Amino acid sequence: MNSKIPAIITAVIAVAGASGDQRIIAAIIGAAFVICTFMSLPQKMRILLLSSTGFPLIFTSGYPAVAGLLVIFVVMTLLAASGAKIGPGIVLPVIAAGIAGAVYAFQLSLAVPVLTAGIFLILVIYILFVREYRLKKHVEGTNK
Amino acid sequence: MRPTLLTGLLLLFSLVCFVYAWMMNAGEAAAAGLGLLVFLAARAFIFQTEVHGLALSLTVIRETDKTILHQSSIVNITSSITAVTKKLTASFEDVLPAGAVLTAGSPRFTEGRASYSLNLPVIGDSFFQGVRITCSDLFFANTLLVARNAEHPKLTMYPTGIAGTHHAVGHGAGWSAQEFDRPALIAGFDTRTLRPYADGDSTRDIDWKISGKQQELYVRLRMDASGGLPALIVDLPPRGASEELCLHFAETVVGIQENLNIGEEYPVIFISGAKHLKTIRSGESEKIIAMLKQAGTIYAADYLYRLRHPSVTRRSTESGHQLSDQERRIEGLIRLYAGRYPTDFERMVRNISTSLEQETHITYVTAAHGDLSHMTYFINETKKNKRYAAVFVVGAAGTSREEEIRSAFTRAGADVVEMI
Repeated sequence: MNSKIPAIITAVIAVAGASGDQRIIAAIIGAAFVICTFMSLPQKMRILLLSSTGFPLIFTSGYPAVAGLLVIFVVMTLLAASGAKIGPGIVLPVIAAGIAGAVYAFQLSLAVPVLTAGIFLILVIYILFVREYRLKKHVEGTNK
Repeated sequence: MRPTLLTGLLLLFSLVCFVYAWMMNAGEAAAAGLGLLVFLAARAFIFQTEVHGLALSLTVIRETDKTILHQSSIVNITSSITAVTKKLTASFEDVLPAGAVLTAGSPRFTEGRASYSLNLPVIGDSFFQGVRITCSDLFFANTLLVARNAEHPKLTMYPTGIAGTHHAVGHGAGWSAQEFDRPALIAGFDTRTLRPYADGDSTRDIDWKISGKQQELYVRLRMDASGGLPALIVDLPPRGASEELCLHFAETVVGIQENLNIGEEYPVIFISGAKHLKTIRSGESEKIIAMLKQAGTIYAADYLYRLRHPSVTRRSTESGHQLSDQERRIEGLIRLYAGRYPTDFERMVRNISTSLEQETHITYVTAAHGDLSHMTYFINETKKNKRYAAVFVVGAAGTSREEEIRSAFTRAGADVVEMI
């Protein structure tokens, strides 16, 4: 997937959904975000620049729903720039993260971030320990 | 799984987002931090899937020049792998058997191949531990030990000889003035394969000669192939050798064959001068005796062109005298063969040497006919391959040639030269 399209969509959403006093900042950071996808850069540098411009872009959002959408599109842009094949296995967690981000932005109650952090912790533990253990067990075998 | 520097920076960035969210009470900042973490988790998932695929696609083929080893032997290993790396950057390394010492080359695979040599000091069966894969992408790195095909090939190391419990050295019969354990001497190891008889030992293993002299029963421990098998190279006397010499020669060969009997068959190679006659297994006694009967009847191969640049070539071509027809024919042959590499003789020696892959203790029996160059070449080849060379010369003891023959064979590298 080409990273230019989600980058442009991100910038448009950021400018349109920014709070009144931060629209100019959103426009500047959004432009920088889009330019990063058009410039010829090493992949490592591109991801670093997209991260350092994309996530501050979320800070400028004026509405919780916009914050959620920005999380979705910034992460999609980053994944596309890093060469990941975008499929349901990637899109669904990203949408979940967007919804969680929107809920964070609403600041409804303390339970929501704690719950999200708990789910995320379980995910990390699953990847780092369960999957890693299964992988090693599967491929390493046992020597006589 | 280890994060790369880039992942470390992104995690730091995520932390900054959460700190900002906490201090400024900004929900958007928390959402940004969460988005970063989700991104990294997705990448970790992708990385692990790719590593899994890589590990499953790995195939390893290892080839060794030998699988039965003794303590000082060097094993040459050639490994080749195939793997589907996809977008990962991967390097592969063969993991040696536990305790193995790398002596040459590198176990790292370059373009799917690795060649190296190792010494294995561990007694018993050893296995390769597998292939170590170090793979990485932009965000994560991982090192895995994949044990696929690790048990092939199995390397088995036997100890060199068996620690002796008794030294049986005394005066008496034998080829020289001392009586000793000949297999141990030929093997060149500082061990004696004799020990006092114990309950359970086979009576067939009793060494009656030693037992008679020591007034106590002694058994000869059988040496296994791990100490290196012997081989016997018999240089049959050519046509013209006296009947007495041929008889003496045959007796010597049979005697040495008996002494080399270590419980396993070994090759007995018959040559005559520069000519290879036949290779027979030591168990085929009738065939060996039939070959020995040919002593003194063989027309030996021409001695002139056995080596690349025989000095005789220069002498004959530089002389100014009128050449006879025979000399002219010889000169023609010399010109034909002098520059040829390798000569038929060299190729023959090399073929014999190659066929003696496991045989490390070569015993020669010769009547030392001709200019000795064929024997010195054989001995040289033996030493070049780090084998033990013992030479028994029949019919030269007490003659004027004794010193010359001993000197020539010793200079060629023979470990033992015995005049019979």
